[in-house]
Amino acid sequence: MAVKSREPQVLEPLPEREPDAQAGQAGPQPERSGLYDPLWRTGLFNVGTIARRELASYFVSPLGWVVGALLVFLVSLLGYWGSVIAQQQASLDSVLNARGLLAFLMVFLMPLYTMRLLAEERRSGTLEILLTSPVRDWELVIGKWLGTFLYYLVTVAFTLVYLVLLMRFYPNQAPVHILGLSLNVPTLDYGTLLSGYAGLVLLGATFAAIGVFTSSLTQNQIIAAIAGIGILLGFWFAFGLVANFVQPPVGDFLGYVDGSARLDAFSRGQVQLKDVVFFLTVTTGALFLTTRILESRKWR
Amino acid sequence: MIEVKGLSKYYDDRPAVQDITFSVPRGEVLGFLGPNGAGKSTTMRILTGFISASAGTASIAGYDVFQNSLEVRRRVGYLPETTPLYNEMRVVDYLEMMCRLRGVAPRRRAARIEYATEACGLTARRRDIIGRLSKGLRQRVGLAQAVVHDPEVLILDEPTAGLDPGQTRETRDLIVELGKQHTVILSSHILPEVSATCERVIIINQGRLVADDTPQNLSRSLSGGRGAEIEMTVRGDPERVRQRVRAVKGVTVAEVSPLTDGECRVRIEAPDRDAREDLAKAIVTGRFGLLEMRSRTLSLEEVFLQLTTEEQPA
Repeated sequence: MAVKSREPQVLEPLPEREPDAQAGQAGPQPERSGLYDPLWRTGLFNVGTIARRELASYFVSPLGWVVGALLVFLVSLLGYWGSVIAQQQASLDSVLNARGLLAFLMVFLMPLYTMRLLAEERRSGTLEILLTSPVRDWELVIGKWLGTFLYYLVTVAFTLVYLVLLMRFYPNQAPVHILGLSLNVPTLDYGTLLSGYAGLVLLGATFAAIGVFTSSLTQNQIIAAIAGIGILLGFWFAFGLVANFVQPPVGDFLGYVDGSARLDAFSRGQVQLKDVVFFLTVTTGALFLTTRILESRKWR
Repeated sequence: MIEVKGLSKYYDDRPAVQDITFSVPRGEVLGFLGPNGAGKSTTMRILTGFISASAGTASIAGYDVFQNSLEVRRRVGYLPETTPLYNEMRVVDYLEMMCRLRGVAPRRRAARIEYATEACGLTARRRDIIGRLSKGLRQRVGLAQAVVHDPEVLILDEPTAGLDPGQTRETRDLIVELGKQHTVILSSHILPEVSATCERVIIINQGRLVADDTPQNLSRSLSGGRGAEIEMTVRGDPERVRQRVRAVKGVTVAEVSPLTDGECRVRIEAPDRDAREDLAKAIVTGRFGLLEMRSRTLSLEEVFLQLTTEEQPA
């Protein structure tokens, strides 16, 4: 882009409006030069712009800080300090386990992250300015989702502090040779840690997509949050529970779409393609539905 | 620049806009007039691609609003009725974001933001948080976001609603100023606003277009073909004044009603020729006192009432 824009158009006048063209003709573009325009047309810049604003707004809104702090506090207190104070072995189970504390909290906290996203735009009318700008509906939806997903990654990243502490104080260390250096490294199960965090990333993506979806249904943030919590409770707990009591065809299906059972494999160190595909499917499905709901405004 | 043909929109079965056709040439400032709920906002939302029409076509700058929505939206600056803005953002940051969303190339952004803030008188408020601005200033931010990407067409939905008289005037002046650079459609239910800012007026009532003309023509044609109506205040005996003006060429109707202090009001209709000069001469040479004379045309307000309260075709 930089190379392109250094070409001869230095003298270009600023308001680049073409002279009075024949009215009714497909108007010639106001001169938009270089690589910027074709790239902008892909819509990815818009996704980035919206995601950036969303991420930034979590850090200027009280909600972002309060919910983030709550998450850090509860996970630290119940998941980590509790076991340390009780002189038990410290672990990251509560963070990485599919039925652990972090996943449980996210069922309730993610809808609080996402309730604002589209409901608020709808209520205040800013949606009208966004969607009468050259922003496609899917660009808006993915941008909103991405902003929340990134914020989720930031709030979950704090658990890495405990990982570092764990490594520092882990009793069993073994020498490892890297590039001719010999280091003492704790003998943690790094594969499981890695797959556990991969699972957390997928969990965040899926929950955020479901949250964006419920936020698109209403103008009311509270309703959006409650609907989100409802769906996530079903997705994470109820499906699996009910599956045990229902006859096979339905029961099998419910067992299949039970999110926590799917994530379980990750916390046990197994990254299976079918589970990854499952989470990605739910994510794209929710985002697709959200786009359709936004589009439906046109036809009502 | 803007072509609208047979546009209709139904919400469920309720018609909001029915078979509206008009066009706006480049550089014109068009007023969209109608009582609340007449279909002004609906038409504007269709033009900006926010909602779809049930029937008919519309194009802006040669691009179809439905087929080529993205190209249209890139060329349109839109200010919705309620001036929705992100309250937690700063003015410049907001405008910067709007530039990005509308594909303004990075190297042009600073200049465009500079232009928009200056044109809308926001230079001193660039760093202010939008949520803390007054209603009038918010309106300017709304206008600034509408022009920041250098659109060919501005669509402004009731841009002065809810402003105090001072702010209304400022906003109106600003729109007139912007009208020199852009093709503008603005809607309003306030008549003086439209006559003050617009070169052409479209009147919509109950979803139908009932008039499309310049404010002057509308006033003229709706005085019912009676042509010019002249009102005078004259000092003198009413009966003799009546005889005197009745004799002036072209005068078809002369009504005289006495006022206090030996004055009388004279109403004259002279549809075929401009009788003002002859009338003045007749009064003065008849040795009456000519105190006041004005030709009366229907104000836009009267036109509007006449058009929107007339019985609808069944």
